[in-house]
Amino acid sequence: MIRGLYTSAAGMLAGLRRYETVVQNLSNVRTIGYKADRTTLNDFPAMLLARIRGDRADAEVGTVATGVSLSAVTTNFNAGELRLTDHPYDFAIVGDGYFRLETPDGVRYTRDGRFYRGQDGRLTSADGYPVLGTNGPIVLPPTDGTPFTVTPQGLIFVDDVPVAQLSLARFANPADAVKVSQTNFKSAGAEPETMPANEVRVFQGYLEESNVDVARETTELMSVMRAYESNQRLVQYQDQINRQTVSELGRV
Amino acid sequence: MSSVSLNVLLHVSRTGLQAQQTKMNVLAHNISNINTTGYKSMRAEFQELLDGRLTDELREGSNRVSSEAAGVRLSATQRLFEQGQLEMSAYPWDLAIEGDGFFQVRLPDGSVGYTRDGSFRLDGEGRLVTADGYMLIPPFALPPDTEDAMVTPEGVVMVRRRGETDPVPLATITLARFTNPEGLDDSGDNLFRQTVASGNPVVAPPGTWGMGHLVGHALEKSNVDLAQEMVDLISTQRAYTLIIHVLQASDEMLGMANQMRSA
Repeated sequence: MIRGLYTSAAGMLAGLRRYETVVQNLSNVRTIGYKADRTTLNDFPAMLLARIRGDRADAEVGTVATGVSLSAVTTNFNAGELRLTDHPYDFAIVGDGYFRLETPDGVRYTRDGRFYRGQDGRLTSADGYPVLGTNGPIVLPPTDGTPFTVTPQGLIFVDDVPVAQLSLARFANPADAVKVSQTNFKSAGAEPETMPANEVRVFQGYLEESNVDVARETTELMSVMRAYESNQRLVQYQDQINRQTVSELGRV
Repeated sequence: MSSVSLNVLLHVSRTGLQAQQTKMNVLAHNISNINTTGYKSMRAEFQELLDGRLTDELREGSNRVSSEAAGVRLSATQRLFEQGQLEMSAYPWDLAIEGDGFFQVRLPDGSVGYTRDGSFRLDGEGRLVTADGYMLIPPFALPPDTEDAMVTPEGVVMVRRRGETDPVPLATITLARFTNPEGLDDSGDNLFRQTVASGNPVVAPPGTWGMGHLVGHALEKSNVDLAQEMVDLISTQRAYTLIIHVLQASDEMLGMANQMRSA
């Protein structure tokens, strides 16, 4: 009886974890370069029950399930939709690849292409980290007004002179990219390879929208709520049975 | 297994709401300035929230493999300095910049302000001042007997005085350019100020050093794209509604947790 109570409570806690992911996703429905998270649930290992008499086990009763837990949060790496902004410092990657950012904690990878010209002409990400090219951080020379253009292959031109080549990273195993913040990833496995320029496709003046599927998340929200509710009811029922056992069965 | 508290998730939703609210304010500001001369539209930048306390709460005992952040935060608003359309006007001292550059004006505290709003007027001494009364740099005064005056695309002020047949150059209006105009400090009233991020300006006559050309009898309209703003407005409103739903769900779940013990 008490065991069932814990099983239901585990269900509620797992529901809370699923719910957390839904809240994160829905809060970031408009975050550029955001990749939605998904949760997978696992049941706890089943236990084998045995009747114990004295100091020896004499009969197996059978197995009993012990609940559920969150096994993993995985990221959905599908591309988000592209939005035209016409802003020269906005970039979107089509197909594979991540921009490389230099951070104090090492190289980070992102699909959020809202860059700006930082101090000393460095091309900088929205959160202030230098964007890496094939020869280290990209530094844009001062221009006399001619626009700054980037070819789809990631070659950066200032005043019609090539100044740098964007360095795009590709993970051999996409799941090696692990979130460190909403839009920045780090590598959990081998360092990703640099994509050859002829495979790079970067669009200037576009941004990649969040890939959160609102319909999916709202249905998930409903299902999480109802599962939470069911587990809560089960806790109540078991509590009621317990009460009856204690107050009625135990009455002499 | 320690749990993520529903209260933390309420906080996540709240930061989401605040971010959408700020975005809404920025949009409203843009739309209300759709007819402001020389106005440059703003864009709200969303950034993840990396609140240490909250992050620890979410991480503590958690078997999550991913996100350490919680919620959304608006980090900054960004100016978009794209060219606005030019609108012809009847007044000779309405000047528009076609291309890069800012007019420089002297602010009351002695510092230099930068503006794209070229609706200049003449003051009592024949000097060019902005609609707010700030004097154009470099300063010059039209002679009292000026009959006709015009500004060339290269910024040269040509003046024809009474009794003369040909206009003669009087002064040259210079423009200022910044390598990183997005770094300028936005002091309101269509004025910008230099900051460390923007760097030092390059000052040169129009048409040189990458400066745009001057157009007389014209004003630069606001570069706000109304269609774009309306689309943003709708999706921001939808995002806001969504987060409200999430908040309601959190509230219901808190209620259920409260009622767990049957009476």
